[in-house]
Amino acid sequence: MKTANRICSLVFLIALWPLDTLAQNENPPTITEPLPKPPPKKAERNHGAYLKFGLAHWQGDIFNQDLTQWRGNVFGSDYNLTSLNVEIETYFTNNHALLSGWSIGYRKDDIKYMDAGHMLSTKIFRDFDLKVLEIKTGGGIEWGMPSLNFDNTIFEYGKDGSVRYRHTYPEKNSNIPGVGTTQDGVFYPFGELSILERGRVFLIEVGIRINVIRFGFDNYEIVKDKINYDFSNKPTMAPYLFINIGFKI
Amino acid sequence: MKRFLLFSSLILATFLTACENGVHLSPITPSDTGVFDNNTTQDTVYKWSPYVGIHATNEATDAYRDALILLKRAGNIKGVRVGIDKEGGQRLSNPVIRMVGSLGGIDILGLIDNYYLINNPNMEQDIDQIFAAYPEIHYFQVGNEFTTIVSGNGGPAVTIEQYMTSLKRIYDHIQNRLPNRAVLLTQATLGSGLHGPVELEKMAKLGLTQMDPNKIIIAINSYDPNGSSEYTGILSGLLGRYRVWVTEAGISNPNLHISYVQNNYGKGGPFQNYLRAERVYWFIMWGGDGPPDVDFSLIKNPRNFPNYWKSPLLQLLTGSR
Repeated sequence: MKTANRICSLVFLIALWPLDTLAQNENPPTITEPLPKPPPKKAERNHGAYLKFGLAHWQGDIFNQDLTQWRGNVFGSDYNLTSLNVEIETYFTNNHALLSGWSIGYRKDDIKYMDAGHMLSTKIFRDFDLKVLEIKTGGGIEWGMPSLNFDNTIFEYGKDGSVRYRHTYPEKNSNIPGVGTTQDGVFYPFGELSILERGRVFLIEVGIRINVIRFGFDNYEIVKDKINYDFSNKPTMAPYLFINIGFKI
Repeated sequence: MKRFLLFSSLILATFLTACENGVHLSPITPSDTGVFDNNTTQDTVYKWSPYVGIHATNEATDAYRDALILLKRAGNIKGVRVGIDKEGGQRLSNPVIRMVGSLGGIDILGLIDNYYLINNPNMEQDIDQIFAAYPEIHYFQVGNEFTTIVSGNGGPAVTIEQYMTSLKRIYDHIQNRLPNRAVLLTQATLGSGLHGPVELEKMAKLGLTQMDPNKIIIAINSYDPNGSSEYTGILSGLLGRYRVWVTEAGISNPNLHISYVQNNYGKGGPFQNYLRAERVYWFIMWGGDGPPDVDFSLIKNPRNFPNYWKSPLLQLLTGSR
């Protein structure tokens, strides 16, 4: 909104400038005429830090046979979980290096289980003021112990005693120091797009975050105790929708 | 402010609408003490893994036989896990193992007692004797909860390093002498908390990963499968090439046996999803070596055969109610 005001003011001044110049040249001001307005100060952004609380909902479709590629089905249902998050987000007074701010956050995925689904993130973003609302786009990295909702195994037991199964899981590529095994965490990038309304005190935001997580797709076949494998992995997009409410701190 | 509220209401409504289809409720827990409807029965039987642990206690043999025959008729038993004790005097002619073998069609997992693995200079000869005594057994588990059970029951303090030394001796002996005689299972690590996953990682680094995945299977005892998150990294990483069996599972409350199976076994359950366990053994058919009978038991008071007590889960699985 401030940016829009600035643009309007600028357009107005540019539009008036020739007339003003002309008036100065042709008709010197008299005492009765109003004095020209001083140029307005540059409008200041609504800057500061917000403490945000949010709700996120994941639904995706990566576990089925043909789902090694994300099909863009945000409302599919092979994994399905809800998360809570808290975030501190700072907006700069002016954009720096094209950036409007940064944030750090913690998200608890699938609140039923405390042992997994703890994620920390940091993000940088740029917002665009469209007068009625802002659009914000950003990206960052996330690290932690992922929710078990992303682990899935589908078994097929044959009548001859054979067993076939496919295990799909987020590849652990990081260590959570101080607890458990040495490869128990994940680290991945994400991108985010949201629309938000920021008041002097409150903020409300809704958007989508797309996490790019490397998933493993491991196929096993056991026939008469002989085991065969077909392992693969690839970066997979795992999106979620979110809504955040925050207040200025 | 009005615009702010309007915007808030709009996106909140949109978000809630989008999430509506994602609400998943836990399955309604049946009353295990009641009569089960068809859906409960079908769901439980569908998810059930047809494997049960049996204490090789001779006094329960008749009740064991009866329960196993009932389960077999219903198609709900394919294998049992039975201990081969070093102490007890009947280690190589156990009547319970003989009885299970005589029923036919029931696969036996022989659990080699921890005490075979401790300060035993004759370990290889003992293994040869066990193999000779039980030709009907193809799967042998080498120890069980080694670092917690032995010292926990008044035995010597033992380490996972000692265990791995013993496991490698047995593994090498079998591969050298009788490579196709048996498939081994590791000692079962504990399935909840951090002890088990960390211990399993140590086992991997102490030589487990050098063993042939066709010859050895990872065993885990998991009573709280939702607490098994720390296993996911090691089972899909260092030990990703190995099979996994859950060799003990269950809950110590007969009224919750059925809901435990419904919530944890089968497709979508944590044993399959997180641990990728091919088999899950219910902890125990009868845990009554020392009274009172433990509440994991599928049967109680086996000495009262044929009028022994059957848990609601066993009744459901045998179709007797």
